[in-house]
Amino acid sequence: MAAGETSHIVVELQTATPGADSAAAQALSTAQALSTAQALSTAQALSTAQALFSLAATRLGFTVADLERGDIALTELVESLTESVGLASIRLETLEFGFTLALRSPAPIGPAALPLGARQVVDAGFETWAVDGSVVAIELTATDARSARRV
Amino acid sequence: MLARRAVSEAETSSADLVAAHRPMAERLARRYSNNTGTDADLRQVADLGLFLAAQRYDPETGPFRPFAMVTIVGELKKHLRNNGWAVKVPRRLQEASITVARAIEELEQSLQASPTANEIADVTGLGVETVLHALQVRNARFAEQSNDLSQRVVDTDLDELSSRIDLHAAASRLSPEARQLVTMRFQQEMTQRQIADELGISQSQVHRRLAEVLAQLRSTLKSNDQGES
Repeated sequence: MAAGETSHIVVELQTATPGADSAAAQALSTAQALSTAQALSTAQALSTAQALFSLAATRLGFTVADLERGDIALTELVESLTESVGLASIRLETLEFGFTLALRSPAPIGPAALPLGARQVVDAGFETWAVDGSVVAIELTATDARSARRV
Repeated sequence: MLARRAVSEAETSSADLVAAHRPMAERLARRYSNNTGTDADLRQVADLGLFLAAQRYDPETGPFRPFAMVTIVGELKKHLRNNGWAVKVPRRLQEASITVARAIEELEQSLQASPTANEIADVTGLGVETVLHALQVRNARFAEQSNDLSQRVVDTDLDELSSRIDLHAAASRLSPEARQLVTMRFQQEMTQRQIADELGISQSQVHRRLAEVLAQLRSTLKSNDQGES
């Protein structure tokens, strides 16, 4: 990330959800801590991404199995990106039926930034994700009818 | 799209699944090494996890990759626990983790599906955030040396047992020396260093010989696949 740029995190909540408030507070607290930061360190990026993922996953009623796979995949993704091209921002945005978690790098994300093994790990954790230029977008939606009813 | 992928994987042999997903196994092994000097061991454990996943995989349950990830990570965690590498966590979280683990087991049986964090919170009376923290303890990958033997867990899983029996059947075709190596490594769960000391050879020799034996096992598996098709 270039010097002088600031990191930002967007958290949008439509309704209060049990457990979501504390996760949101954690994410926002991290966001405040990052407001003066010049770059996202791996630890900062990881804790922020994990807090935002937990927030979305809890709201969507993800199962324990989904949470475990997602957590491993997200960690792989964040660490791979921070070690290669860096991370400029992490955003959580609402969709009609879920969320998008977007990780933006300061430079285009090429194959070298996400080698085959890393891509396979991310693929194992998230059903829908894509790399578009310098952004990795992960679509988080309820994965089955049982959890969808609780959204 | 998922259904198509599962169908396509159904047509893929176990050996091909193993070959295609070795980069993922390698990556997962690396995640758990944390400079503990166990990298070579963990790579082989991840390989074994991938091998077992390919044997157990049922395309009707969905894509192979998520299933393989869970199996490989399970093998890696079990290896770390069995070798005394346990994660140190505060006692309060340890207790919550045990409570959550029990609740998951009960809910999985009653729901016939993986439970959500909210369902676990309802059953245990713990807050959702505590449940999430307890789950993170389950997923913790970096381990520290621990002398607390009570943290060790003995896993008994019938599916795994069945796969291990298949593995032993394949291993029966190996030479006595190779079989001894497999027994020491995967049955007695000795580290490469321990095997090297026991056999009076170097650790790199143990690593090379184990790699050859695993390749031979894969070849046997491939022959079995071709024989069944």
